[in-house]
Amino acid sequence: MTKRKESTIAALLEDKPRRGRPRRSIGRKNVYIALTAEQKQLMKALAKNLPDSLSRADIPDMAVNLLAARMDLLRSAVADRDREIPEGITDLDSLYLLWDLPLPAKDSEPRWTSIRLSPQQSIELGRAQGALNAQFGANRSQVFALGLAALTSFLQEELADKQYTSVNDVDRWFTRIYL
Amino acid sequence: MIDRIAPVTEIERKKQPNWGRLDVVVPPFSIEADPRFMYLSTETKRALSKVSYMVEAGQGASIVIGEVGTGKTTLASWFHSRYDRRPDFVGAKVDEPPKRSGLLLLRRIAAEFGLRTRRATEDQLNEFRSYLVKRSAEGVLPLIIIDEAHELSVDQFVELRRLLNFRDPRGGKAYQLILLGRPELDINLREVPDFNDRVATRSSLDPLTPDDTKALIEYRLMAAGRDDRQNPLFLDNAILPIWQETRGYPRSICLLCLHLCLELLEQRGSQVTEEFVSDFLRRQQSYRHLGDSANND
Repeated sequence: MTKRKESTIAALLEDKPRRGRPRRSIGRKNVYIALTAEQKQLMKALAKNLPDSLSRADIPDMAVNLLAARMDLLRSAVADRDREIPEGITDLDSLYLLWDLPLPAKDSEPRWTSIRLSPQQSIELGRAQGALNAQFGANRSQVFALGLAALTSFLQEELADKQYTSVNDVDRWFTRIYL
Repeated sequence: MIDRIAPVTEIERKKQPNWGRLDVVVPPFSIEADPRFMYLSTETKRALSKVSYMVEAGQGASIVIGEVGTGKTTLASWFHSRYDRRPDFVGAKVDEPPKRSGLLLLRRIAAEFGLRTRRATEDQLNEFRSYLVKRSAEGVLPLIIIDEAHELSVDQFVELRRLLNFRDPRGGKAYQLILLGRPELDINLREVPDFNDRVATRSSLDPLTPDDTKALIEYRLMAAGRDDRQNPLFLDNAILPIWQETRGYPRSICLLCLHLCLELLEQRGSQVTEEFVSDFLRRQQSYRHLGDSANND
């Protein structure tokens, strides 16, 4: 019996650990942000509707993953145009409107708190904040709030009738729906 | 006091108001479609972000719908001024499409791009095709903006669809199209399903809320040069009667505020209050016609 030759594409698609990232799982790190009482309430409400395998602690990672994916989509849309963000997106609110998310309440006083993010997600949050800070002067809390709004909308509108059991499953659904 | 019907521009010229007394450099409430004075309400921001995303991603046609006086023409001017000055776009703006004929529309667009106009539709489309090849090689995307698009006929939609079918060498839609028109546009589009299916995004411009009305007035004054640290020219209690009178339509708000400012200058007043607005509206019912004649010019 001849041994089946492994295809190049299969080897490329194999889920390999990225260079520099340890194989063992690394604990989440504290990231300090300011959230309003409504946003904390929202996280609590989202957690209640998550499957058993996911908990409230996974929400920040999912929110940042989703925001990073949406920002990548935005960048790729204008990739040929030598711009990071389309001309008509004039502030952070424009991104809420572009993605059909409810605008954040302006009158609520945010309070400092900490969320726990995995290392890769901490980097992604910093990357998104870097881009949005350069464009609109957005701070880390505002950027996370945008990701949280995007996650809420995605879970409620796109994943309400779909099966997912992990943070990676949510990423896969996003890829399948939007890419 | 204004006691006869005449265009707003004529009133502005004849009366030569001393705008400096209101601490502004230019007239703050001109009803011309000037993108510098475009107030970004939530609906305007939504339209801007969605349409510009689709244009830059090369998705083809975008539609913006709004009643008379909601700011469509200002938005069209904004898109044209912003994209035409960029090196990677070239803009053609048609303010009012020619009646019915598809060829006439193509010729108007061709003239805006600086192309040769032809007498046969196929020849004109060939001109567009060769123009596209040339601009694509330079990395430039042609953008066509058509205002008053509710006046487009079925034949004209057919020709626009043919333009949308052109592909650049990378396979993207070559011509980007923004149509702005009254709500009839949405109804007309149902008659041309082939075109309707190609619409990437639809946005609508609605009348402003009282909060947005206040923000528009403040923004216009600031854009005209008034320092926002000064005492407000329009007191908070003046906003609601202005909104009630104009029903939140931006052009009507600007027209009324223009007349309120002229009245304020004539009476040597310093602030527009609720009583001032009510008193003006009681005495000057004809101010709306002044705007109509200005618009018809």
